Amino acid sequence: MSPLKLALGVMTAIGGFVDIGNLVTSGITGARFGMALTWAIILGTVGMTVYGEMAGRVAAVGGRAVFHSVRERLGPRVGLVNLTSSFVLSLLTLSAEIGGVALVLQLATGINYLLWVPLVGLFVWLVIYRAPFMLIENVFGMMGLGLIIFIIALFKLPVDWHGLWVGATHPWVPSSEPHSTYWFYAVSLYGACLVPYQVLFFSSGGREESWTTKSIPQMRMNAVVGFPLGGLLSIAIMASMIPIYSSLNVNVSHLGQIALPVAASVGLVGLIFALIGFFAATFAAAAEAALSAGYAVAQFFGWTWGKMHEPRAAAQFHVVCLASIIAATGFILTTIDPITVTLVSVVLGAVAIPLTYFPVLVVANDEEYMGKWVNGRLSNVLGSVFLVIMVLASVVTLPLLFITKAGH
Amino acid sequence: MTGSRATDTSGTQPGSQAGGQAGGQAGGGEARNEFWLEQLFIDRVIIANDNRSVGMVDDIELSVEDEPRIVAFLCGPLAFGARLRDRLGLWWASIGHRMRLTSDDQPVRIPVSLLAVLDHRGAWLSVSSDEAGPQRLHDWLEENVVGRLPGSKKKT
Repeated sequence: MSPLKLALGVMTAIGGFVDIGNLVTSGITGARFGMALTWAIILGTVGMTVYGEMAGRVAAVGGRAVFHSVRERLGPRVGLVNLTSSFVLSLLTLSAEIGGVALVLQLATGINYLLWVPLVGLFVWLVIYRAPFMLIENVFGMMGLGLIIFIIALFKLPVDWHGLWVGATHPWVPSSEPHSTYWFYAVSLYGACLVPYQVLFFSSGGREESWTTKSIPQMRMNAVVGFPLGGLLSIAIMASMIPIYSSLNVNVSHLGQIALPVAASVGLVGLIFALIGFFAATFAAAAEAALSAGYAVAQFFGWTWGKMHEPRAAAQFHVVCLASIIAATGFILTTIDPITVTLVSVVLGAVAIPLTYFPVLVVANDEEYMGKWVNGRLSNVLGSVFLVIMVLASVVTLPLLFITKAGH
Repeated sequence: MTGSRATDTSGTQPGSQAGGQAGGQAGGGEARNEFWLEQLFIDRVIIANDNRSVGMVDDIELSVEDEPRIVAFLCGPLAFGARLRDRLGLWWASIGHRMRLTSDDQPVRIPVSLLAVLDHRGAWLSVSSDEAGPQRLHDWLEENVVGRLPGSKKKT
């Protein structure tokens, strides 16, 4: 494995980690809670690293898809419930990402986002239908690195570094906020890092790229180095909100407000970098969510799936992807606020996370499939601890959503 | 396997090896020859030699003999509906039934004579997906939707 290839993989993993969910939740919470919720990003990122590594290993070794295992391990009825909820959440995430891409284009051009939505939907479908799989990962992953401008902005803004550190290490609920909103936004940050479709996407993507056990070192680097650096980017976005918004009583509710710290400190060039990063991160996530919707359904029913086949051979898979994109595009065209859709999708995602993550833990523990690549003690301890956290978060999330009226 | 064809046919063979597949029990294996069909076959993906999936094993068909043999894997909505049980299962199977070209109510059948290898990843056939039999949903969507799009025959 050449160092160059390793570096490329890690960089695309960094860019690929951040999506509309991370942008919105980091932006809102930075402006409203300062650094008090940093721990939630760290928690979500470590969980994603542990389970991403497991899902990648399952894909490289077992040659089995996650939803084959879901059906085999959970049986047809529970499996079908699992499939339905995962599919609906992928649709919701896809809607949020399509809305996000359209909002970025509105910021860049001044043309209303609703006019962009159908074009974005069409472009997402074209990429899924025709573009090579590597393009989604590499090109958009690299463009997503434009978000590093938020780290540069931090050094140009009048940042109180000691204050940031104190805020991050003293995660108390601010006196101006009720406990319920604090916990609601904690769940939203954690849910933005651990999106339900992600383990499905990594494991299926591994098959698309014909991973073997030789790919495991690269995959591990991506997960263990790339994801935490992606989490660091989310933290940088959160921190950059503080110098701009902490003294004002402003609720961040637009993508433009999230780009403002960069525009104010680095200027136009910085803003361009931020918008390219926003665009790439949301667009890649839109394609991944649409593919994941197709992967889940096709794998569950034993249909031919994936971009490694010519589209007509995987006819059902492509029809599911296309139908998902049409549904998500239509949903955003109802003029529902994409930022609200994003917030609801990451929070409902937190409810459903155990559904797709638990089967991965089970299969990664199965010696029959995994052979010598079966979970070690570290993976199992961390995986089990996170499963408990995931279930707890899943139970408290819906009450929080209703009590806080989605964070208001 | 509940209420499945395999259970029905094997049910006429008291004491047959296949009789011990009642779902949910752990594979304790009191008798040495006993095996658990669910663990061995059910929910394995069936893959043709052109690397395309043909379906998932939802059920198996046994021969009516003194020592029943597995003669076919059953899949498709009719076999899956039978496993779902209750109203949902009936509904599922009836949709599958309506999508059939013929009026019989047999699930899609993949004879085991087409099987080349069976491993933990799936059931690998020695024939192509076309030779394994028609797949109605796939064939219809291929002919009427995806096949009509430009570039549908090219790999990316």
